[in-house]
Parts: sequence; structure tokens; C-alpha cells
Amino acid sequence: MRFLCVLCLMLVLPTLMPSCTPEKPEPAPEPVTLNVFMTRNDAGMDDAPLVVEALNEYIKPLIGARVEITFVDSSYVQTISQKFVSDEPMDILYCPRFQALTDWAEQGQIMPLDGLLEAYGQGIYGALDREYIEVSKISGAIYGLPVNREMAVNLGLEYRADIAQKYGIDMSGVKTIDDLDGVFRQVKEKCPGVTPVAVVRHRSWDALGNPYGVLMDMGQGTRVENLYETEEFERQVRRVYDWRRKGYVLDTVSDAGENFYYFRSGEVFSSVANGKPGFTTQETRTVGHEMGFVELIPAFSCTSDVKWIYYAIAKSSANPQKAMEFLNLMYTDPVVENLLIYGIEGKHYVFADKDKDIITFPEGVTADNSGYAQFSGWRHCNQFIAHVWEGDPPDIWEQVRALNKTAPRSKAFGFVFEPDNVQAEIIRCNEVCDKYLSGLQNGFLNPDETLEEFRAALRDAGIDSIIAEKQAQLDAWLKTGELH
Amino acid sequence: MKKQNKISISMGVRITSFAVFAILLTLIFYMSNVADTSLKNQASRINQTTLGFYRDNVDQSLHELDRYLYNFMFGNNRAVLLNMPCGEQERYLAKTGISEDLSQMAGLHDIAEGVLFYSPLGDEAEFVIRTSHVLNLSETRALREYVLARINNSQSEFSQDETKWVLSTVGGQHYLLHLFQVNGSYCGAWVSVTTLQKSLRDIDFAPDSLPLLCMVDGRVLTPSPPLETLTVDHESWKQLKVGETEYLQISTPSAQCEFTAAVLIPMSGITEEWDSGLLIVKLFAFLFLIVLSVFLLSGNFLYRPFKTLVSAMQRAEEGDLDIQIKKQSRLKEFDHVYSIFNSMTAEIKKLKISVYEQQISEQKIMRQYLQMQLKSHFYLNCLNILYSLAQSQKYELIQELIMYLTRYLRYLLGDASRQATVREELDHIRNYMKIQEMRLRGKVAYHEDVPERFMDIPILPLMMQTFIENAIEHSIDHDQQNDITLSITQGYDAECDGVRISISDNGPGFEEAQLVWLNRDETVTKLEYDKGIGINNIKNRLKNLYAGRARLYFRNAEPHGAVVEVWLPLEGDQEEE
Repeated sequence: MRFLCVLCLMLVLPTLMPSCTPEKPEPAPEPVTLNVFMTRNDAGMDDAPLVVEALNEYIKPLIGARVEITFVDSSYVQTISQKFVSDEPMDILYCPRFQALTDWAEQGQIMPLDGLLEAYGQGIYGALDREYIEVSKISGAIYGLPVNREMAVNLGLEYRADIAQKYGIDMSGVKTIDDLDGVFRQVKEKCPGVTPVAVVRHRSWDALGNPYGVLMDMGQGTRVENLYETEEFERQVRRVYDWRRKGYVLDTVSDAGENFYYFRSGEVFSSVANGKPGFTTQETRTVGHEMGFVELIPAFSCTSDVKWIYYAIAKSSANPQKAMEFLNLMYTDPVVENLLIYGIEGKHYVFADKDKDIITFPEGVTADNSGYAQFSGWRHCNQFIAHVWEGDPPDIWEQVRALNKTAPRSKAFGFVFEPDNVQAEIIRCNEVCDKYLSGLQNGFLNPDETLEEFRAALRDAGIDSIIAEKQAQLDAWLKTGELH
Repeated sequence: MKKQNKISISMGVRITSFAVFAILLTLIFYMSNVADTSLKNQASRINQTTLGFYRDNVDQSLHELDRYLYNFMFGNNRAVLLNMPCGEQERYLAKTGISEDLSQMAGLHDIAEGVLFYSPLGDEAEFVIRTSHVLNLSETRALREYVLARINNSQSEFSQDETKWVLSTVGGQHYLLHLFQVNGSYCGAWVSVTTLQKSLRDIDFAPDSLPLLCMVDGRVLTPSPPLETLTVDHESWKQLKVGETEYLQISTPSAQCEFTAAVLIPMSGITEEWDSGLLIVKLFAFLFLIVLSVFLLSGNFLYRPFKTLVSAMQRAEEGDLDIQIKKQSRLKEFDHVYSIFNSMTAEIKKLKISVYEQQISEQKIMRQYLQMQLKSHFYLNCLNILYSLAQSQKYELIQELIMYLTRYLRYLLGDASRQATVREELDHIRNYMKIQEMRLRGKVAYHEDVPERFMDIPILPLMMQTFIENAIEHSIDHDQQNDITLSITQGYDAECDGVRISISDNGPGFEEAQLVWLNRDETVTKLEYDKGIGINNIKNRLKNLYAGRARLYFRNAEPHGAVVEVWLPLEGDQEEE
């Protein structure tokens, strides 16, 4: 009976004092979801959902939006193109090539960012040199935002330091391409089953948008030359042909892959690569063996070195403003960048030296078992504001910044060639190059038999017209540059 | 009474409970079995579908890849070119072209780890291999060696490979490899079993399931330790044990390639919910069993009262009315029944005793009455004699008669209920016959033939005298002298084994109707025949005294005369019951 009384009281009381119940707060507006498309590599990525969750936790109060990130693992541009067709909701797109950015802009798949940038992306201007953005304009509009990375590129030989040490191959004397022949010979003689080199590339010129008409000597002159007529080109072609005949060069037509693909096998000693600060640590981590690097051509900067990786906003985006706000965060907020680049602190990395901002794997975690071991800072908007991985130079980002500032720039840095007037010649030259160029560059074709043939074919295709056009445009550009 | 067809209550209770229990148990286990099987069927159906979807997916991807490869190879000028002598540049262009095509194919088909091309017949044999996922040059090189070896070793039978993806093991790695030959060039693709296994593992099976890829012979590819010995067969599902765990195995073979996709689902997961139900069912069965056995063992308390009651009733039936059930039952009803039984037996006993007493007193009254009857009958006769003697003034005879009569009366006045012996009776009869001889002078003669050994036999008092009286009655109106003979002999007879007392005369005998009436076994005294009063008395007394075992016969003798025979049982058990 007493219980019943209590029960009745309990039922009655709330109705008696309605004023006691607190006012419900207005429900917060449902956060906007931004669909972000990025790429990934083959390393550990299982914890990506956790990382994105942590990211959303952080950004929701800041911009009132959450992101859903799709990590496309291969054929990125192709996959994204398919998604354009299928009308999948898209907001922010990673873009791995300037050419792709141009295509998307021309197809109307991505939107100009100028206005958005002014309104919601002011932080980006603080994080990114304005000239890089200017250089990346397409038809006068900003379609993509370049990322902060090394904008000056050198050329060198990446090699298995452990193999060099094992067989006593001295790399300290290697300064230029001419020194390589001796190294390759040693490898061929001393290391059974090891191919001396996989990829052979060469570049000491500014290609000015396409290889027909270049500025030689790292772009230090202003005279547009026919690359294929130069002595340097011929020397390189003959050198590679000679190497291949001697069996120094791997047949990368029959079997091709990234450099780590060759190096991991232990059957390849070296490969030509572009170095940068922290390159050997990065490569050692990727390959799993001690890697070395010798610079053959010092770093210099061309327009094309900037025009590589971009972030864009899809035309179909329902929330371009929020997308720009998120882009702004990626360029300016270290928490966002550290999450995207390194994952979650305590789970995927810990501080090795908090003062110097150096991080490493937590106890028991390795590159093999980590749930987030992407390490691709150069793919993200602004790695300069992120932590430094243990083993990399502690001042790596300062080094990169310095490199970008101090590396010699091509005289044509910032010049963008407009090919419209010589489109037909370019196409014909492309056809010629398809036929000869890679065969010559990779030493498959005998320069004695084909080099002159190739040069003549290019001339027939109208390469000189292209060069003339380029020269004219460059001269004009140089003149306006002087005006500024 | 057929004893074997009867069952006791306790038996009945046992059998019924057992039957109920057995039916219940059978039902429970049948139901649990049905549920179990249907659960497994359901689980297998669902997983079979999932697995089938996976297999179809793989098969379809491979089929698509095949089509691409065929399309690529048929009419491929580059392949034709590489397979014949030609210039260096042409060769290079053809090769790079093929390499690019392969690269594109490898990129387009996620399932393919790599594609390869081999042309053995040109200036140089060309082997182009392009991969999408492979991270190590050595792996592709090993694969190339393997493919070359296969092509070289099996030229003749090579065409057989054309339709199937063959399971191949290279450097410890398992691959599904499909090679075919078009116009002397070879083309092929391979799929890493590890990748297939990974995509199989990505399927959301029940927790702790083991998705497996198996060879055609059922062995598991890259097995972890407990699965090394496992052989998967193509039954839709079956139950098996790996290590300590029970699994439901579901498998489906691929149509395109040499592998079977299988999954081992832990039974615990499938029957999880049912197991708790089954536990309750088992617990219930167990409890029921306990209750039943307790009931059957100690259930005595239910059927023991029946036993007690039945044995008590039996004893009561046998005559022991002193039986009292002293036990107490825990069941109220039985206690009540016991007390009723007890009071009933007591009541019966009381009734029986009172009935008995009543009977005895009745008999006594009857005998006294009979004696009274006899006395009055005789007095009348004697008074008649005395009257006639007085008429004829024969005083000596009157004196004599009175003396006999005195003796006679003295004998009669003895204890009415006493037992007389034959000797005493014969003395009395002789005395009586003296009286009668005086009365019927010359008309009756008495003869006696009684051996000495019968003299002390107890006998119904005045019985023989009654028949003598009757004989005398018969002789009264007779002209001849009536010889009355009393003899006692040992009688051997089927009906009566005892003493035969025979009283006979040579008078006119009984009338036929009279004989019929006399020989009737009438116990009720009939008063229609005056003369019969005495005989009926005898009959009743005999019946009472000898419990119906004495016999009385009436007949006529030849040529004339009446005979009365009394058969008395010889045993000394004629005491009253």
C-alpha cells in the first residue's frame, strides 16, 4: 500500500511542477558532410576510419562539418573520372598531376577557387607562397591549390647502401653521371645476380611545358633550343645505349615498377631518382634496407616542378564554402595535418623528443603492423606544419623551405607555354617521339642508326615552329616580367 | 481370477510416469534436434549464399579478365610482329606497346596481381610482365621462371589449360594462373591466393569463422597449424571438429578455377541462442528425472497405504477381525480410510459375536421347547395308559407303570441341555418299552442289538425314544405283534462315515406320501402332520448338533414294516460351533 502511494506520488509530482523541467537546448544543426577523395599506398591503413573519426571530432566544432575520406588505392585519376560520371557526391579532390587538374577544369568537373579562397581560405595564403598558386592557374583562374613540398628538384642515384658496403663499392667518388660507368662495372663484376641500375633518367633543362624547345643548363639561359639536337642529349643517349649493351640496365619494359619494387628484391643495385631532404630515411623506411643517394645534378626549379600535386573542389560540391574551410584547416592546422599524415598520437606514433617535435613508432609498433603507416607528407597540403619523423633531419622542413628559396630557378620560372598555335606540330612531334624517344633514352635503340633519323623526323614534324613559338612567348613573358 | 493381468497402483503409477517422462523426453529431444538441424540448415544456407556470391564474384572477375586477355591477343599485330624477325625499332615499339597494354590491363582488373606476355619465336624471346600489387621484383622473376618452365615442359598438352585457372605454387606463394596460347604467343594472368583469401576474410561471416581457400582435393591453402590436416569436401554442409572447436563447414567450388571457397563457422555461434534454450530443456528434463525418481523411490508414501490396506483386508477376509491398522499415513485421506477400516472391522467383529450369541440362545430355546413338546406328548400317552389300567383295576401294573414312569420322568427332568450316552438312552428306552408293553400287552416286542463298544457314544437325548414311539404308534392299530428292533452298527457309506442307528418294525410301514415328506430335507418345522412333530424336532436338533452332517432316512422294509435310520458322524467334533 505504501508502495502504491509512493508510485502515485511519483506519477503525479512531475505534472504538478512543470516549471521545474529545464528548457531543452536547441538541437545543433546537423554537421555538413564533406566527401574527400585522397590516395593511399600499400602500407598499413586499417585504422583509417579511426583517424577520420578523430579528425571529425576535432574539426566539427571548428567548421561545423565532418569529412568522409575515400582513400583510392590505385588508378586514382581513372577512378575519380569514373566517379564524375556516376554522379557520386564529391567535395574535395586530391589531384596527383597537373595534367589531370587541367583536364578536370576543362571538363567542368572542378570549380574556380579564387572567390572561395578570398572569402574562406585566407590562411592558405599564409601557408603557401602566392607565386606557386599563380603558376598553377588554368586560363587565368585558380582551379587547384598546390601543396607545400620541395619545389626544386635534383637528380641523383639512389642505391642499396648495404649492397655497396657488402661488396666494397665506393660511392664517395661519384659526383656526375660520368662517374656512374665505373660503379656499374664494379657492380656487374662483384655482385652476382644484381643488375647495376633499373631506371635511367636525365634532366638538366627546363622543358617549358613540353619537351620541344627547352632552356638548357638548368634554365639559366633564355634561348629556346632543340633538346634532341644538343650534345648533352646525344651523350646521354649513347651512354645509356652503351650501358644496356653491357647489361648494366634492367629491362624496364618487360618488367616495370616503382623504385622500391626493384630495391626490395635485392636484385637491383641502383636507380635514378629525385632527391630531397630526408630522402634516404624515407627510402630506407620504404625499402626496408639501408639506402644511399648521390646527387648528380643539383636542384633547380622550373614551373613544372611546382605543377604536380593539387587539391581541388568538385563542381558538384554542395558545400563549397565548408570545403574551402576544411582546405584552409589542412593548410594551417597542425592537428589536422598530423592526423592525416601520421595518424593518432599514442596509437600510431609517440613523441621521441617533444621539444624538437620529433615522433616515432610507439613501443611494439612497426611499419608492418601499424594501422596507419602512410608517411606521405608530400601528398598532403602542408607537411611543413607537421611533426618530424625520427631519423629525418630535425630541421627537415626548414631545409625544404630553404631549398625552395635558394635553389636556382629557371629563367622561365612562372612561364606557362600556350601551345594552341602549334597544336598540329606538337601532335606530329608526339608521334615521332612515341616512335623513337623512349627507345633512345632507355638505350634500346642504337643512336648510330636512329638518332639522326629521329632528329630528321622531328624537323619534318615541325619542331622548329614549336621552338619559334615558344621563344616568342617566352620573350614576351620575360618582357612583362621585367615590367613588373 | 487371472492374477498376471492385474497391476498394482504403484506399478501403474510407475509405468504411467515413465511413459509420460519418456514421451516428454523424446519430444524434447526431437524438438531440440529439429531446431538444431534447422538452425544449421539456415546458417549453411545463408553462408552458402554469401560464399556463392564471393565465388561468383571471383569467377566473374576472372572471366572478364579472360575476355580482355583474349581480345588483347586476337589480331594483336604487335604480338605477331614480336614473333617474327624484324627491325630493332619495330621490336622495341611492339614490346613497349604490349607492355603498356598489359600495364593498363593489370590496373583495370583489381583481381589480377599481374598479367604477362611471352613470345618465343622472334629474334629474341620476349617476356613482358606487368603487375599491379607486387612489391618485389624477385616474385615476378620467380613467376616468370615458373611460367617459362611450364610452357616448355608441357607444349603438347598446353591447350588444356585454356579454360581453367590453375592453382600454381611459386616460391611458396600460391597463385591462380591462367595461360593460353594464341598464334604461338602466350598470354596469361595470375591472381594471388593471398589477395583472394584477404577478400574472403573481408566478408562479414559470423565471429571467429574461418574462411578458407582450398585446393581441388580439399586441402587448405596456406593453412595455419590446426587446419593443416583438414580436408574440405564439397558437401553443402557438414559438421566437423578442428582442434577443440566444433565447426559447420560450408564450401563451394569455383567453376573458373581450381579452388574451393569454404568457411568454417563455429557451432557455438550458430546454436548460441538455442544452446541456452537447450540448457533449460536439459535442466528441465534432469529435474523431472530427479523428481520422478524421488517420487518412485520414496513414493511409497503414496502406494504403501494401499498395500497396508490390502493386506489388512486380506487378513480380515481370512477371519482375523482383530486386525487394526496401526500405521499412520502422511496422507490425510489414508488416515481417514484407516480409521474407517479399523472401526469397520471392530464393528463387524462385534456384530458377528452378537449374531453368534443370538444363534446359541435361539438353539437353546428351541431345544427346551422341543423337550417340552416331547414331554407333553408322552404324558398324554402315559395318562391314557394309566387311565386304561385304572379302568381295568390292575393296580400292580399301575404301580409298576408309575415306577417306570417315575424313572422315565426322572430321566427327562435331568438337565435339558445335557448330553446323553447310548447306554443311558438304552436304559431309558427299555424302561419306556416296559411302559409301552404294559400299555399294549402282547402287541409290541422290543429287541436290542447294540454292541458294547457303542455304549459310550454321546447321543441326542430322547432321539431314539422318539422313533420307538413312532414305531409303537404304527403298531397300535395292527393285529400282529410288532417287533421293534433297535440296532447300532458301524456304517460305511459314501455319505456318512459313522454310526448307524437303525430302528425298524414289522408294522404296516409308511404311507408313500408320508415317506416323501419325511425324507425331504425340511428344516422348518411343519405342523400339518401331528405325528411329524417329533420327527421334525429330531431333524432340527440333529441339524443343529451335528451341523448338518447327520443323516436321517425313512423307508419301508420288505415285506412290510418301517425303518428309520440315523447316521451320526463318528468323529468327536459334534460339539457346537
